[in-house]
Amino acid sequence: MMDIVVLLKQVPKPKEMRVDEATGTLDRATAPSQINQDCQHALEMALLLKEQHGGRVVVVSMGPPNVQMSHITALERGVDETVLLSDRKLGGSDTWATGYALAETLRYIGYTEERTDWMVLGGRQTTDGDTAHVPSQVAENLGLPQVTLVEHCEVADGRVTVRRIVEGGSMHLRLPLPCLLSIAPTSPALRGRSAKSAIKVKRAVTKDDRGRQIFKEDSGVFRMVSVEEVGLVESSVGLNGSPTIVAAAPKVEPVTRDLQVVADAAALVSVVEGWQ
Amino acid sequence: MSQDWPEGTDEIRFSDATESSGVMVFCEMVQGLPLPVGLELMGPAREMADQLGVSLSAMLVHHDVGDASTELIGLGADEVIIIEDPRLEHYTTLPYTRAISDYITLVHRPEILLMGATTTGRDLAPRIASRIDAGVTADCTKLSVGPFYHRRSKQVITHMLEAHRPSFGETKLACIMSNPESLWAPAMATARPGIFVVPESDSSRTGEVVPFSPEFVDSDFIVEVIEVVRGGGARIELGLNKVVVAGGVPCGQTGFREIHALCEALAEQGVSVDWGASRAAVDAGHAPHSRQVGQTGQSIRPPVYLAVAISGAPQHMAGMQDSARIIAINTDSNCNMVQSADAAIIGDYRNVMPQLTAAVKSGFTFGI
Repeated sequence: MMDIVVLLKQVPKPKEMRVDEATGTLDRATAPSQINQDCQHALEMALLLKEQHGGRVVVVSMGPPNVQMSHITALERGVDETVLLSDRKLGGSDTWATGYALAETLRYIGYTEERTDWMVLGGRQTTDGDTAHVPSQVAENLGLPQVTLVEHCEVADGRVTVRRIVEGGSMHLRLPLPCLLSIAPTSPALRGRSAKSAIKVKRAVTKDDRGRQIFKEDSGVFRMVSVEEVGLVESSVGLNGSPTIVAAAPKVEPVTRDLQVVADAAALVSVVEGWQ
Repeated sequence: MSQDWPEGTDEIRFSDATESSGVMVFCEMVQGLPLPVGLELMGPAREMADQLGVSLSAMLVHHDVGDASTELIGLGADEVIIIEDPRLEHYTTLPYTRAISDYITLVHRPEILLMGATTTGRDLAPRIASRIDAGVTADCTKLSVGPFYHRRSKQVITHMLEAHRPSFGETKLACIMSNPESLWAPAMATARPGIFVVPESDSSRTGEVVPFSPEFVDSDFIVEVIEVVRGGGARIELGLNKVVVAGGVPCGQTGFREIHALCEALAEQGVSVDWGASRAAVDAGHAPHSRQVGQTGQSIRPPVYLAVAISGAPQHMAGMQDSARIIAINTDSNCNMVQSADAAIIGDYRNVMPQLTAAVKSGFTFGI
């Protein structure tokens, strides 16, 4: 039996805003967010390990209150509990600050170095930030050994054996619990909803005044925590607590190429000869 | 980013504010050799060190660094820090983090620390950053130094690292800098392999070789390496070729066979060529991850990139859009890849690829 904490980020859906055919406007009701692709793989890995070894899968996220949407999705897949660190003070946090905040949240909900019956899984990277920093930074803040880019993982006798992707091949590594792994998208894809979990979730959620699903106050499966509750040092989170800032973000003018369209290889040969 | 500030504004140099000095490059070594990306980084690192008027250090961490320090001095290093230990043959996070962090906190704190965004660098850089309290920017495509005006304190911080990286689906180039509210050194950045060009070596250059012994603790080696499998010992560096032929999902096994045939024909003509794949094709099992081109694979800019049945998702374009010439083969003339190409054959690759291979066999080499 062990607990598996899954770090989960909700990200904007890449280019999937739908246009309402009737009004011609963007249909914002169909949630333009989703669970980050690689986090979905981490979630599946956690659920697979739970099937093999028992225990609980606990999702931890940092983000705005609407991350509840992704937590509902996660619970429908078989997650036992979710925790959302949500606070305006966290706005503008870079990866250093996020790593600190998430690590402290894990400590706050009881995952400390003294316990050996747990591990953390995260996605390799996110589609919106794309840095791959946060898993390493959570591990450092918790003092845990880590392996990133893991596509296969087995647990036996309190030890974790993993296969890590490296350039041109892979590494097989073994490490003790507790530890942190970041999961690569070459691992199994996230399963669909389970009927049993979906019923459980249905009892835990209600709708807000705008018709969106949110957790009931006493859902028993979801907790929202704040900077103050977790005991985060305010000067170490948010925009001012981050060691990096986005100083500027100028638009990139795409390289314009003079497209020449042809129908077969022979025509291409003459086009390419024209380039020289 | 240079910008306007009132005349007579106080200026403070980043290195003075953070008690740091110099530029440092961590050059990852695999199987006794430094990776190309570390050598590539010596280019922008030397340029920045010259602009800042500071020294350039290279750092090697391995079980045996061999002649790598001589190579790095030739490429511009003023000193090479060597950390050798039999337990450092294969990368694991904790001992490498200890080695580099100890050097920085106990011996010498650089103002800038760079490393390649390899599977190692992407794992190691953020862990070091959290240990030594530094900011880190991932996957930079451009590195420069410049001033930043801090409105609140009405100060200009000068000589700061400007780490540029594509963001928001490649539509913007974000410039990441140290936060003037809490200046921490070093300013760290990782850069993708194949972005910078290895500078010309000058064997007359001299530099110092400085061995360093970190104080490892047993728990640094708690992650055991059981086995390392690297395809025949050869790493795949698609970016080193003149021509790269990449396939998308629709190619399937047949299509990739056609791609291999074209590559062989080009190789016979003496053209350096290799094949790659889109992420979707890798996920579908048509190619190993080590051949993936795109944001989550390799970033390359070969003289000729031939995209076979690849529609051109933004994450794929991110890894090849700076190629000198892009040629697309696709049935859909409206797809992103065709619209971003220099030339496109609109047709089924099943017909087009054998034609192209035949053309290559009779001497056509894509202008290479």
